[in-house]
Amino acid sequence: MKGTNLGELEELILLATASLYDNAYGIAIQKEIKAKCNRSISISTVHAVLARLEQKGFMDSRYDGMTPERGGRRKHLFRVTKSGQKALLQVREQRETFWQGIPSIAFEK
Amino acid sequence: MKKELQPPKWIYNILERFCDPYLWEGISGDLFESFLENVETKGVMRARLIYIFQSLGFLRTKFKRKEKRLTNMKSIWLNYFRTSIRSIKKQKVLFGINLIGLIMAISCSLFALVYIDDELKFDTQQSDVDRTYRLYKRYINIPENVDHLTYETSGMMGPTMKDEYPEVDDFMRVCPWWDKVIISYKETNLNTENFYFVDSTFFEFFDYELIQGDPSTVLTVPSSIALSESFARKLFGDEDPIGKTVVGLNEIDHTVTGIFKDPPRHSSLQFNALVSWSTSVPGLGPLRFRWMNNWLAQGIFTFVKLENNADPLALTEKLPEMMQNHFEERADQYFLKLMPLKDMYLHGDNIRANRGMKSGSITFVYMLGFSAFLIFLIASVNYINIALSRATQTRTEVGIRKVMGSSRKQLMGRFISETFLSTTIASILSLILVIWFLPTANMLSGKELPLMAFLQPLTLLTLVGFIFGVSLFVGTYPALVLSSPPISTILKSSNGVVGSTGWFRKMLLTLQYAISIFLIICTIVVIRQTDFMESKPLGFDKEQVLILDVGNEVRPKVNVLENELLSHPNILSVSTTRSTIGTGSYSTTVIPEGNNDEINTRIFGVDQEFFETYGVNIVAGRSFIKNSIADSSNLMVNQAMVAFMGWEDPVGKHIRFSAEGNDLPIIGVVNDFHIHSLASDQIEPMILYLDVVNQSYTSVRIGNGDLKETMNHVQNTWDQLAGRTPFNAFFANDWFNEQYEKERKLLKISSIYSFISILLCGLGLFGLTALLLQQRNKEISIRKVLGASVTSIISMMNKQFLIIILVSFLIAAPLSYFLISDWLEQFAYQITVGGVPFFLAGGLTLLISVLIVSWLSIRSASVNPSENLSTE
Repeated sequence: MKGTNLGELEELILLATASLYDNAYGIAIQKEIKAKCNRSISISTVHAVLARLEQKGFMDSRYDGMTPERGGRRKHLFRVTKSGQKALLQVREQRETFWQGIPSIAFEK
Repeated sequence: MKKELQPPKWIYNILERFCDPYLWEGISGDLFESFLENVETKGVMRARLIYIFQSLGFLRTKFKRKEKRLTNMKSIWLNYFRTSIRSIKKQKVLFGINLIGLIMAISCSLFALVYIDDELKFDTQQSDVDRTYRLYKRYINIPENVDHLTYETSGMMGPTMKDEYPEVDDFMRVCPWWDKVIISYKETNLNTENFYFVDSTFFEFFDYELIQGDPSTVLTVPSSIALSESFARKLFGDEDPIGKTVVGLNEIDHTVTGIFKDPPRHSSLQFNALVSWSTSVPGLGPLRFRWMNNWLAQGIFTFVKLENNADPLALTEKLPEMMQNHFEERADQYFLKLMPLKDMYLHGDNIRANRGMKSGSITFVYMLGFSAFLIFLIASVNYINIALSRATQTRTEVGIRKVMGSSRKQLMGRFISETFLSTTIASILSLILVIWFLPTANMLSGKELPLMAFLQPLTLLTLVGFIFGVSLFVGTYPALVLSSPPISTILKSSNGVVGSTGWFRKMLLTLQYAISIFLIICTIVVIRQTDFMESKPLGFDKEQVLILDVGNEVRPKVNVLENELLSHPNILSVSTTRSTIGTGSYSTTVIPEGNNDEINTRIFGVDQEFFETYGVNIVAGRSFIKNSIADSSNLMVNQAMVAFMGWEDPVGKHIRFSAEGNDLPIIGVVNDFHIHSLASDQIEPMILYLDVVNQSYTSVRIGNGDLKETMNHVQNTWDQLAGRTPFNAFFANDWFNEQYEKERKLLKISSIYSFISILLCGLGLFGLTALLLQQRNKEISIRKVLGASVTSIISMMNKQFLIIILVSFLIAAPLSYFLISDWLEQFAYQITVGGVPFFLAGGLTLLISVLIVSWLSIRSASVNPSENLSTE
């Protein structure tokens, strides 16, 4: 099933969104990823991925939280949906299966 | 919030237009937040830069505004395009008329543009063009009634200016020789068209390229000569010319010291031999031309280069002071001025004595541009008129499109796209046409425009400009009108005129006709003036007179030449004189009997055969008698002299050449004859004296026998007598005709333009009438059924156009009268304008229009009424 396959960036952003919970919007997600993984992703890329994830149904979004730092604009807040959660779990399980199957001798010292 | 803390507005606006409105708030918010943060950490400048880059990152399809409206635009435009082609196909004649009009207009404009662009390029390639000036003067002499501008300066002006005024950086004297100079090397003799004496710094002062030789020394030594590449190749073939000795002016030996590249086409100065100025300086060079190096003689040209930032006007104001100090006797007659080098080519029209240099005419440039513009107007009017008249035909289409929900803007697009299509086709055809006719156009305008001038970016860009410009300019108004009717009126009735375009159309038609009549009147006057100058009796028989330039070599043997020539049966008479038709003349001051003051007259040395050779009539007294010694102190005068003095009985009156001189008797009076161009010079009082010493030109009267055989005889005789002087002869009538070259050029161009204008007007009228008749064919049929005759229908159709033509005539006539009178002013002998050109132009226009309208009306009225009325 093609739709449920998550890209690496998609996965990161889904995770960041989930961890930010009620404050997941573009800049916050970008910063979260920078803080946790030390990866710089351009803001436009973040938005593009967010839009794609929303299209796939892994996220939904709403507008809320007007602040002066944003020149009076509301934040575009994202939240992971049930199917998004499922997709994340699926990825995690797949990886777990792999990890459990790897003999310890497989990695050279 | 402080103003600096705003991100760049432009990119914000672009992005706002681009982005999906739903996503936009989030995106702009994020961008702004990150911007504020960057201002804190990295400063405003860098924050802005980052903002721009971040914004650019959002320009991807993911965020693009999704518009449903745009989706079928492509097919709508395709449909417009297809409809346009269909409507063109349906109206082949109208399309043809429009196309011809547009092609003519674009071709004329394109040619005018390239021509003007080419004229403007002259002399601009010189690197110091902005600070180089040419000296000229206003020569005022009240007693002699002289007041004109001339380029003639004296050899001392340039050097003195450099010495005395610090703002003069350098000077350059140029003296183009008056006629062709023969340069000989071994057995080869070649005529140089342009033989210049120049100062040694020539190649530093100007940018002409020296191929061989050192620019700073090439023309320093007396008797040095530099030749153009092409001339040297003709003279020397494959030999190396440097250091060779050639024979030049006055049989002087010159050493070739340099070879230069032929002057570029865009150069006023055109020369193929340059001789060092020192050659002419008495005491230095072999020629000892005092007149090239003193204050008095006025025969050379001076250029000066000013320091950067020097004010030419301020310098001009100081020049009277220089004249006062050095040349007091002429300080109240010569007023020196400076002509910028870049203006010299086009703006020197009214400055005399520009010998040996190319020149253009700003008047001609204006005329060409103006005429092209007028043609353009006519063609545009045709297009608009025909498009407007088609309103009745397009209304159904407009109505249905409107019902289907088309907006006014879209409908305008539909009509503009049709214009666009026509203009594109016309532009491409124009380019082909102009290139095709380039050789003809070059011949007519006397210019050598290269093919490449039409393929340069400027031209092609202009063409694209034409396509868009015309489409918008010409297409917008009809599009506005055609798309205007509200749906209700379209669907209600099937007839009637759209909008109140009737008066507008008539106005345009009037404008068009006024332009055409204007051009025709001007052309007729130019034709008549040129014809007048060419055919006015000159006071002598100009046909079949051959004039030979004797030159130094044959001069001693001129009697042999005369006798040899006369031995031919078809040579009726031979005369040798100091000057003659087309060779310049001399003037002097005399004191005639009954006058205390000196007066200025022409003085003309003749031999006894002159009158017979030229067919000049003796109107009173007698002519000089052959071999009469007494006659060498007798004089003859022309009728103008008699009239000027008011003499009742001129024969026997006396003339003195100076207050102390002898009284010389007048023995005869000749009729007035012209020795100058009728365009520039009036007949002046003239004194003729017997001169068999100064003999420079031999005039040969040829009979009506075999001209070619006679010419061979003259040529053979010449070849026997002359060694190195090439045969140089011209016919008197050819010389006179050459004087009107400028007028003939104007004539050709204005004829072409007025022909095109009347053609376009005719075509426009044809199209318009055809459309009107088509719209009214039911009306005409009903009139016929009710008993109207074909004649009454014709007069009905003609009536409306007659008024238009009358009004346009009333507009065009006074305008052209002013222009024409102004133009005629410049001629010494001018026609009186009179009524003929006006009646001719008006009549011609009227005739053509009536013919077109009547023919179409007859055609339409002779159709069986039942054919038109049976369909509904």
